[in-house]
Amino acid sequence: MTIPETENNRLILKEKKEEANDVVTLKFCPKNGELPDFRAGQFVMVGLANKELSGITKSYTISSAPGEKLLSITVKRKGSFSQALYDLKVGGEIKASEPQGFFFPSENSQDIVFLAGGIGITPFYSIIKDTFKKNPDKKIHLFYSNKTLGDIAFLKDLDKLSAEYKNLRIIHLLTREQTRDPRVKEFKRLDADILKRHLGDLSRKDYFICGSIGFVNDLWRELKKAGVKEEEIFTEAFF
Amino acid sequence: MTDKNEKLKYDVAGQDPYKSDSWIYSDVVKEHFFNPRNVLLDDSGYKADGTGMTGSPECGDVMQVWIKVNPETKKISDCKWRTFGCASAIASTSVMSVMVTENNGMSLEKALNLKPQQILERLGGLPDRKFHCSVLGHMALREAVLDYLKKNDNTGNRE
Amino acid sequence: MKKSAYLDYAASTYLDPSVIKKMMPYLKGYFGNASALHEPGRESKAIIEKARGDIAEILGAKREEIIFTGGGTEADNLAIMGAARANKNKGSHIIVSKIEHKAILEAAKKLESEGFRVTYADVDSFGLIKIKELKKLIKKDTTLISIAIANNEIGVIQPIAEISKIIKSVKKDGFPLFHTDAVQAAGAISLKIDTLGVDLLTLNSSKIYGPKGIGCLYVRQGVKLEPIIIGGEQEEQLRAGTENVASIFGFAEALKLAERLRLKESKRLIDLRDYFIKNIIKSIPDCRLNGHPAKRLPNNINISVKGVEGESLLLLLDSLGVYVSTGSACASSDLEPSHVISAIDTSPELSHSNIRLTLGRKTTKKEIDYVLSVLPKAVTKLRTISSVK
Repeated sequence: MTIPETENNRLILKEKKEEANDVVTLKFCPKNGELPDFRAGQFVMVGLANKELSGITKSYTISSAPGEKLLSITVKRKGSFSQALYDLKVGGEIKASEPQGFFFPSENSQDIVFLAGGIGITPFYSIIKDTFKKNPDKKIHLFYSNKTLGDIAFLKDLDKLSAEYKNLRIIHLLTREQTRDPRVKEFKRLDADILKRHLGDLSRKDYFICGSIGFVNDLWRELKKAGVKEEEIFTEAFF
Repeated sequence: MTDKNEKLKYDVAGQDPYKSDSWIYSDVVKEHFFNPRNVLLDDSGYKADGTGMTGSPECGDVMQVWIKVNPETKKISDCKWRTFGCASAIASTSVMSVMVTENNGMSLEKALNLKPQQILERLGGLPDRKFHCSVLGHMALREAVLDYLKKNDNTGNRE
Repeated sequence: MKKSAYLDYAASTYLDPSVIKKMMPYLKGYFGNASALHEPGRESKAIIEKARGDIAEILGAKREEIIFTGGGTEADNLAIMGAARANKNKGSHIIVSKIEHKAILEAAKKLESEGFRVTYADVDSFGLIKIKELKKLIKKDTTLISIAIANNEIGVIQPIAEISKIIKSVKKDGFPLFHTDAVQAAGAISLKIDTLGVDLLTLNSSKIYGPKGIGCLYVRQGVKLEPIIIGGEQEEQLRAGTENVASIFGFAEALKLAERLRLKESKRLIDLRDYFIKNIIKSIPDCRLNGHPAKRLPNNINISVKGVEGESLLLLLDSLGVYVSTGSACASSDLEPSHVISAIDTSPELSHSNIRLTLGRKTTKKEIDYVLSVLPKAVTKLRTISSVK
């Protein structure tokens, strides 16, 4: 999984924004030419100029929506590669492949349900911004699970989106913290009961699950146990 | 077969292989590793309708998939593969090849949307650190289907 | 009887029956705490001190220079972190080779997070330290250099005496200190401190047919260390904790036995090893030896097999009763390929295609012949289904 060595793949860091505990959004402009075209929900393979980590590439979902001036990825620092990205200074350079992936709803999808675990929010953040720009009538439910309030990335931005778009419903879940914050509706791990409570009928919807391997596999089983058809479930595990 | 696997899961250290960190040799994985199905032994004579490849030797996994598609039913009539990788990778590709060719073959639409979780279920589960093997298997199949669609003037996009 | 061949002695050895027999009285009795002033305590202390003296004799060291630890990893951690921290006033630069055991590399990384500078010395394609370059790496504030006598993965044997001469030629006030991990070398190479010329040396009982969970660090008199296990006065205040009398005793007995057998056993293993290597290279095309063909541990074979992934080969051999190990990423919990194989710069496509076979006391020619009969077939089977030709 190497990135072709052309200048067109180089991106320069223009802005950095802290989103949550250990999570930062990096916004890039192209070194040469234009930003690549992409579909919301796609990812890029990223390579660093750093000597120790050169040769390693990791995939990061594009958290900006198509049409935005800068291309963003949102990084949670966990290992040496993500730490190096987290520490990247404005002006710093990365290599990025052409956008790839197919984790996004089709134009004629049914009502959409996004199940996000932690940093798994990134494709959904991009897709939500993009969908409502083009099709504000689309119904989207976002179930966003995190450990604590401080872990919730894009909290304020998601608030703004749900205020602006009546068809976007966001249900925050926290698994390790109690709070009076009215935005947090549930205080346990996401399961079929919680989905039924908020969605009513689970049928005739397209479900997208994104998060850690454990999160995705657990919810796959939950949805199937609740009778959701396999063709209506789409998964992307981050590892 | 599922019942046998259910029993085996809890026999071995009483742990759910979905969650376990240590290697658990489920019967299904064992079977597909020692007796892999649908391996393409000689690609010189094989006329594939679509082919796909994922991974790289530097990463430790390379999977190559060849498919034949029935032009009338648009279902996968044959699926052959080769894999450089660990036992989980070999078993994942083998099980995937069985899933897409059984019961008169899987439709292209379904094959495009085959999820790693479905491969995992057929395998009887894999430890989390082996999950990427099932992902690569489904990506190689996807490449093969997209290759077929490109060659046959159909759009590969899900619009 | 099912045919089998255990070829993972570098990972773990069985406890020698003669050592078990000798340890029995110390497992059944002599349970007094060696720090106690009463008679049962003094008895335990005497046993420990006898063992200490035996090990010191083998090394040609003073008994006070032997510090017992809970294994090789702990001794390595103590050497690296203990020496660097205790001598911070003399400098904060340490040098370790790129192919050291993780117990050394991770300890060095920890020190980096504490503000120390670490240089990872390069090795050539055989795994041998680039000696001329090493000299250039030594700075005025270098306090510690660590290079293992022999590497656990590819078995390469470093010219420790030569390296120590170079270090001595630039030593000032006793710095830099020279540490060597002798865990794999024990039983194969002489451990005489004066010949090696080191200030610190690690040994591990579990690799020399002794009990597990016990090791030691040789610390030259005068070398300051900061302990990493604290809360007691044991081991010259360098390693707190009630001593494991039986294991200490067993460790010394195992080391004595290993020394007695060293010359004869090394020769026997070298013959078996070279017989195996010659025949496997002949019967498997596109198969290469990793490490130096001659400057190599008597029991170590490490090969890369093109087109075959290490974990799959390991498991296939396992089903045939042949037990080996691999440096492939798929077999490790952190999914990183072996840093040793990566450092000797074999083609990156081969970094997941290696297996290590290590012989031991019970290895016979019959076992080797069995492996020679099944390994090529296993490779052929995996190559048939492989997408890398």
